[in-house]
Amino acid sequence: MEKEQFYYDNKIVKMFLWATVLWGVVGMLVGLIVALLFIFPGLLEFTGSDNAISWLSFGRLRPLHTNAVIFAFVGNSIFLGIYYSTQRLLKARMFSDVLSRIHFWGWQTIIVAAAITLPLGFTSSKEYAELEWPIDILVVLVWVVFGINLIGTILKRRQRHIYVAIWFYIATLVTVAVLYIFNNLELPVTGFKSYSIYSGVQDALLQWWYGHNAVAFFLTTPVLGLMYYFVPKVANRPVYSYRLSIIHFWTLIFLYIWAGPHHLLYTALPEWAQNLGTVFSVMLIFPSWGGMINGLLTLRGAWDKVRENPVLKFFVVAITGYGMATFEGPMLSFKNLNAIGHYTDWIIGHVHVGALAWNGFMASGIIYWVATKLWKTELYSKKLANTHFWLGTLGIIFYAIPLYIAGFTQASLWKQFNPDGTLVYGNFLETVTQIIPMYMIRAIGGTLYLLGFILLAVNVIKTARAGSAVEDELAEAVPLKKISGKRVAGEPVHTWLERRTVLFTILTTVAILIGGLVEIVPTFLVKSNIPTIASVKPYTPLELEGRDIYIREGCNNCHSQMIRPFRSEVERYGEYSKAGEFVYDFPFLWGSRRTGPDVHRLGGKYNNNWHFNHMFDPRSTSPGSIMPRYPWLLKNNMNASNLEDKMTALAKLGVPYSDTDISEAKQALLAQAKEIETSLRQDPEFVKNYGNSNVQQKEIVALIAYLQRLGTDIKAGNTALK
Amino acid sequence: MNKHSDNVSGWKKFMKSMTGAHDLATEEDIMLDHDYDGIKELDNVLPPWWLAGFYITIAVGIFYYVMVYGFGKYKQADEFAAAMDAAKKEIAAYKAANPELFNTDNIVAFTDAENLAKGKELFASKTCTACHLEDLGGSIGPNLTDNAWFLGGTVIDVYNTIAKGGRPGKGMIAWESTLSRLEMQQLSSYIISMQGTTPQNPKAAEGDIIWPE
Repeated sequence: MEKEQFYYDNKIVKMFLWATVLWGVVGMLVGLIVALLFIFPGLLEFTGSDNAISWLSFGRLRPLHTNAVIFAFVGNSIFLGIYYSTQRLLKARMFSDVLSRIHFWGWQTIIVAAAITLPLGFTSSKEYAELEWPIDILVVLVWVVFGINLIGTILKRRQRHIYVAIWFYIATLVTVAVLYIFNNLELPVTGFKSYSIYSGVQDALLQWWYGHNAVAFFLTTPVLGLMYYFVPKVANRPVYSYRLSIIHFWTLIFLYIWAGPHHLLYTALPEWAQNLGTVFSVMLIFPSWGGMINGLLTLRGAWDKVRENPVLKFFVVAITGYGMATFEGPMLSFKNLNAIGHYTDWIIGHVHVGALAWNGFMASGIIYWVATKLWKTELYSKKLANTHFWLGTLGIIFYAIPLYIAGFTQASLWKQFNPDGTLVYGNFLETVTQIIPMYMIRAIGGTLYLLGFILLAVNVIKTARAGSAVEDELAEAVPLKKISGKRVAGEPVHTWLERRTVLFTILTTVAILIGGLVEIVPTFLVKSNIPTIASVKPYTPLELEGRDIYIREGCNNCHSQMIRPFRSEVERYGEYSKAGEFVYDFPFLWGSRRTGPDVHRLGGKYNNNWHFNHMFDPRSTSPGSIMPRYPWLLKNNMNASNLEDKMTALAKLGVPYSDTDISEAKQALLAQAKEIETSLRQDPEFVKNYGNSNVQQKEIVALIAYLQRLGTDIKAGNTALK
Repeated sequence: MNKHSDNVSGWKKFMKSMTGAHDLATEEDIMLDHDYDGIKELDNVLPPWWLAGFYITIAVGIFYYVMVYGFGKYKQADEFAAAMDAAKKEIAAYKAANPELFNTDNIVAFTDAENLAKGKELFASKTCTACHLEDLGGSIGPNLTDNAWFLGGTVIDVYNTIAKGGRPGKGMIAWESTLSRLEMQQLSSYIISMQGTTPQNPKAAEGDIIWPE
């Protein structure tokens, strides 16, 4: 048959490339700023510390950093690579230019919306899924557009079989959709406030099923696909083992989905689910390493090129980082190591090996190489790219190692006892001040990495200026002749599957659904998984408002609400947390890092005046604390205008608020607020400073009410299981 | 096989048996007829070390399950109970061996300037002032200059309050793990010495124990 001529859409690749560079700089810059807040908590208090700006506080900026780096930087880099490679691997222009543009601009709109709403405190609080419901809907719509565009291109391809990179893109497309939709099911109350439809233990399981597999299917599988295209392409070497590709692809996507519960070891999650998390994480090592060795061994016979070519250098460090992180992850899934690493900076170090080495360096290598193709020219400066490589590599080392040290150190300080049974570091703060020097080195590492990336931006801009963009690149290929879908004699099963793309997609979907279903369905249906506790009651209206303020301020970014059954934690915080205590927690707020102490049993530990002074200035009650100040809570009037709607929504989700509870909510709120103000007035200092202010109307009162309620229901004595 | 095979060392043989990698020189033999935008694929075998590792992790997984569900190992509640039990015994043994460290009945108030000055310094540096203020007039916590006390106003009572913490829910932590016996004695002596002084803005009397009784 005659060859057909057609054009690759290079313009869309170029658009995603610039977006990657821009959001990379922004995301890393925000990361550096939040890293500096650990050392200088007052860094962003430009307007005077008593008037600090709410949207610049750590709890709001940290989700901005994670979302920007994951979805804006890595997201755009994935799309850049997918749009470039898919067209070439399938010998076809993307299915629809219009859908490509909608995808691009839709995604950038989501990013801008996130960058505005997260600092404003519109958040669902679930990690890497913080965006509120209208943006969630937009994410799903844009993802569907991307899906139609990708599947459409696959269907109109001129290449009989789909290459391993495309398998990974398909797995990404399907799984991210499933994860995102189910973890973000929420009941809207207002335009920017919703409640997760799951509570407590179930919400935690869903969240980490999502959170872990966002790492798997947003930060890993698409990038493995990119590796399978760009590494052999740049090195001009054949892929090492086709068989290995098949085995590690299917085992990876099947096993990954089960591993989520390893984020919840020693928590109130039922132990059978925790054990599945451990076991499947361990079995994941070799499927993950299959990708690493297939990538590295593809460079067999091309190591001389690695010395010459900065792009390959980036790839080698990226793939090595991937191998390290995917070994470390399973190790952290063993309960004894998890008992040390969880809640500490070890985890932050671990994820940054993945983010900085694997994602950041793969993206960088791809950007350099694609730039030379898009602008049909040599790279502006190889020397600059090499400098970037070394700055970045040093940055990773200076980032990760101090945090490993910080993690180990802090975990051991948390667990040390005096012979009389008291904690050596009874004051949590002492365990923080000891690791501040590590935070300083980490910030230096981050700075080096960011500087390197800025060099990339300069280099790419110069390259673009020097070359001339080919927006539609001519290509030719023979169109596919229609053949039978049946397996022909002697055709290997997988080879057959590679041309049956719809079936391939369906099998992929089945593979990724099994693990989730096995873990999630019983947790919802089997009652014994979450033993109820009779004394656990719904939050009062004022506490509910306080809880929403806690969510808005992102307190869960630094404070856990999950005391593990360890002697050291029970001694420090009180009785360990029980599954039944969280049944009215929509969403759950267990947290994942203890930059500050756990707060699950905070209720009744300090008096109201302590909380009042502490929120205004943490260093007034706890000198040396690195917690942000929250002066606006003392100034802002509480906005309880949606109180009844909130309670109605929660009632729909199963919280036993009666109609009277809801109709009399405002009175109840005012009465409790007045009570708190009265107690605050016992302090003559308070009367001197705030005597004339109507404190009962301020947000601080709601937050105090919530904090004083935390964990107290089972202190009431009735811990008998129903 | 190829011309170099006669002088291949034992180590190289071992490596080859582990990686299963086909010789580079003859890789055309295992080149598949795949061509994806110029990308070719070799058909190297699954590296034996890799495959063995994969089987081992699966075996570890099965072993773990047998331990948990066959032998009832690694249960959170059991681990916790064992740790608490061991701690209880250790602490009891330590207390039995060092009774003098736990006896507070013999605490007496210092009256000398040096120890009181040290007590004053500790009062400021250990954040007591955050709640009781510098002149002990009280703010978040009670006024310490009047004769009303919640937990008693003898030097031993004050010492015990510092060591074990205040009333539950009021925010005063136990200091015995942070401060030495001498330091807590200096601190309580300083507080007792401030009895009857007049703070600038005293908090109203709280507590039902009037001292001296």
